Amino acid sequence: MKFSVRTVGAAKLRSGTLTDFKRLPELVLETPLLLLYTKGGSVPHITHEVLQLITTDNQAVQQTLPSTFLIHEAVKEFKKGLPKFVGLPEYMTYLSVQDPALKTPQGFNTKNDVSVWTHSGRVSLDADRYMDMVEAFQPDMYEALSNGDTNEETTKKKIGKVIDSTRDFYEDCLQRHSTSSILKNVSLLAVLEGGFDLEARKKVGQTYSDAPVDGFVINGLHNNGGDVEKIDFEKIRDLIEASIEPLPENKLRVLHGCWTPLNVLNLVEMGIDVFDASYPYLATERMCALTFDFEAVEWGTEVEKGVESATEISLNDAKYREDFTPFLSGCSCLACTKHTKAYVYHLINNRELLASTLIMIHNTHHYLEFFKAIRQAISQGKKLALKMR
Amino acid sequence: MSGSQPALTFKILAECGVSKARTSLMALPHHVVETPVFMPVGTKATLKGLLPDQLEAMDCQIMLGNTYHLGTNPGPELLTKAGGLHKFIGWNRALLTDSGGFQMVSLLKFAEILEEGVTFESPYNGSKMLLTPEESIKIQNAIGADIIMQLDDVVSVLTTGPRVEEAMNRTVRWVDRCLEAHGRPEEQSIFPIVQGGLDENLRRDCVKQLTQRKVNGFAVGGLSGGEAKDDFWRVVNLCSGLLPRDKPRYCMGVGFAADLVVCVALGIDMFDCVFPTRTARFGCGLVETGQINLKQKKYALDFRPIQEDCECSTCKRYTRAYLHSIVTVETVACHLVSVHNVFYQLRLMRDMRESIKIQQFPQFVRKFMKNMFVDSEVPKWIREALSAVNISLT
Repeated sequence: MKFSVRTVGAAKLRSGTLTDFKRLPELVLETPLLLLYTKGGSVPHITHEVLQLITTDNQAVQQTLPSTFLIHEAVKEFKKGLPKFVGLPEYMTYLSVQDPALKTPQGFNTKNDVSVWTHSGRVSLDADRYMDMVEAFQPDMYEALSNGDTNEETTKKKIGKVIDSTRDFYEDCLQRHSTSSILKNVSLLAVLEGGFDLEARKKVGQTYSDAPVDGFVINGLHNNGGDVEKIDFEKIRDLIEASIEPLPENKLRVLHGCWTPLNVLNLVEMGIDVFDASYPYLATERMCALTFDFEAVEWGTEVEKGVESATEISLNDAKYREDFTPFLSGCSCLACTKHTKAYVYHLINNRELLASTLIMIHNTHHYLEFFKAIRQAISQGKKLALKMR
Repeated sequence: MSGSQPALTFKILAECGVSKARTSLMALPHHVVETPVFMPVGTKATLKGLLPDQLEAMDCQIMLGNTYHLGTNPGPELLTKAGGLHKFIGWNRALLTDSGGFQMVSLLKFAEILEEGVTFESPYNGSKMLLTPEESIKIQNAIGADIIMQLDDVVSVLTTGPRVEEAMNRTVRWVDRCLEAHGRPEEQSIFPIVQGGLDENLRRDCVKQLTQRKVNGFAVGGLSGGEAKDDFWRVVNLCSGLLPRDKPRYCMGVGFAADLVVCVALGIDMFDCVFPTRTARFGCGLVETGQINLKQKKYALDFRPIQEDCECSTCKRYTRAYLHSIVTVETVACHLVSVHNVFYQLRLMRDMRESIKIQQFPQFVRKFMKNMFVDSEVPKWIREALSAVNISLT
C-alpha cells in the first residue's frame, strides 16, 4: 500500500490517497477516509446489492475480531481470505481488534491475552493466535494486537502495564508479519496506547516514531460503544496531540470510535486520516436518521456560536405517523427519494426489518457525503463546519 | 367510464397442447403481469426486509398485501392520505389484497360468521367488532390494490355437512354485496372465491353461480388447509375445468414448488404463499430438491452458493458457509436468503411460462419432478394429478 499525503496550509489538515493495494491494484482511496462498519462480515442490514444502491464508489470496510472470530476456521479452509468470504472482495478491508460500536468490557485482558466478545461469548487470544487469524483473513490492512483497556479513569500504573503488553503484542505481530509470505504486501499498523497520561503518550509516540509500519492507531482513549459520543473533546485534544506529534508525516493515522460529527471535524483538523462508521450504525440502532447539515467555510471564519442543528431525528416518534416527507429534505439517498417518515414509522411499529435497512441506507449515505464534503473542503483550501441554526 | 382502460384484461399467449397449462398477459392498472405468476406476500406493507427496488430487479410483477393487517395498522384513513398502498410503500407495480376474512378466522379468538359479516373480538380493546363484505371492500378501496378479493365465508376444508353448503351459498351472497359496495371498479377488479370444500357438487354449483356475475377473474379458495393432497388436486382440477377460459384463475395459499408445477398443469394462473419468505427467516434456502437449512453444521465449510446455477444476487456472491455463519444472527442473512427464495419462485414461474410458449411444458414438468424427487419416488398424488392432464412422468 502506498500513502501519499500532504498537509494543507498552516493548519494540520491533511489530504491524501491510498493506492497500490496488492489485492486491489486499481483502487484509489482518499483520506480523510471513512471505513464502512460491518457486523458478521456485512454492513448491518445492508446486503451487497443494497450497498450498491447507496454508493458505487470505491469504498473501504472495517472488519472486527468480535464479529469474525467465529468464522476463522471456515475462512482458513476457504483459503481465499475474509473479503471474498463475506462477499465484499472489491472493498479495501481493514481488520481491527475490537468493535468500535460495541462496549468492550473492562478488566479481562492479561499480559499475554486480549479478550474479545463474539455473539456467543468471550474468547481470548495471544499474538500468535491473532496472527494465525490475520493470515487466514488476508486483509489489506490490520492493526497489531493491542490491549487498549484504558479510559479517563485508568491509573498510571495500569496504563504502564497496558503500554507494555501492547508493546509485546506489537513485537510478536511484527515478527510474524515480516516473515509471513502471505502478509508480504499487507499493511500493518502499530497501536499507540497511553490512556489519559500525557507524558506516557509522548513517550509512546517517540518510541514508535520509526516503527517499520504503514501507519498508527491511536488507542486507549475509550472502551468503544455509544459512550464515545459523550466524550468531551477538550479532555482528549492534548492526548491525541501528544500521540501524533512525534509521528512521521507520511504515515496513516487511525482513530476508532463513534465520534460525533463535530468531533470528527475536530479530529480531522488535528490530522487524523481514517475513521470508522460506527456512529451512523449506532444511530440506526436507535431508529434515528442523521440530519446534521454542513458547509465548507474559509479558514479563520469564526464559527457562529449557536445551537447546532439537530444531529438526528428519531423516526420512532408518533408525530411522524402522517408525515409523508423524506427523513431529510433534499437528501438524494434511495430512502429519502422513494420513502417517507410515515412509512418508516409504520415499519418500526410493526417491527419490520425494512425499517433498519432504510434508516441504514440513509445514515450510511449521509455519513459518506459528510466525508466527501470534508475532503472537498480541504482540496479547496477551506474547512468543513457544521451549520448552526 | 367509456373509453377508459378496463381494470383487467387477460390475453392468452399460448396454451400447452397436452395439459391445461397456459401462459397469458394480465394487464392491470399498475403493471402487465405475465402468468402463471407467483405473488410474494408483503403482509404489513413490506416484503420482509426487501426493498421495492430489489423486487423490481428480480422482475417481481405483483405482490400481495393483507387487508386485515393493513386495515388495522396503519389503517385505511392513513393509507388514503398516503395516496394508497402503492405510494405508501413505494411499489409501482401491481398489488393484490385479500379480504381480511381468512386472517380473522385464523388469527382471532371468538371470530364468528353471521349473515351480516364476521364478528370478532378486537385484539386491541376486546370489544365486539364486525367486518362486513361492504367494510372489507371499503378498506380494500382505500388500499387501492389492482386486484381485490371478496369477503368469503371461510370454513376449514376439513369441515363436513351442511355448514359447507351454507358457507358456499353465503359466499355467493356476499360477492353481490361486495360488487355493490365497490367504489373503484375502473381501477380495481374484485375476484370472487369459489368455495364448497371437498364436495364436487357444491364446487360445481358455486362456480355456476359465480360465473353469472360480471367479474374479471376468479379464485379457488378453501384449500391448503390440511386436506389430503389427493383431495386438493381434484378440487383444483375440477374448478379450473369449470371456470371460463378467458379469465385468470387464482389458487389461494399455494407456494411449494411441486404444488405450483402441478397447479399450473391443471390450468391455474396465479398463486400466493408466505412460505418462501417465512422459511428464509429460519435460515432455509430453496433448492431444486426442496430446501436446505443453512443453520446445519454441515454447511459451515460448504463454499457453494445456495443453488449452484442460480442467477440471483445472493448466489452470485455469497456461499452457504458464509450464510451459515450469520443466519438467525444478522438481519442481512434473512435478506440474502429471502432474495434467493423469492427469486427461486419467480424463476420457476418464468421457466414454466417459457416452456409453455415453446410447447415444452410436459418436458419441463418431467425434468422438474426428476430433480425434486431425486432420492425418492414422485408422490402418487402428483403422478395422478399430472396424468389427469395427460402428462406422464415415465
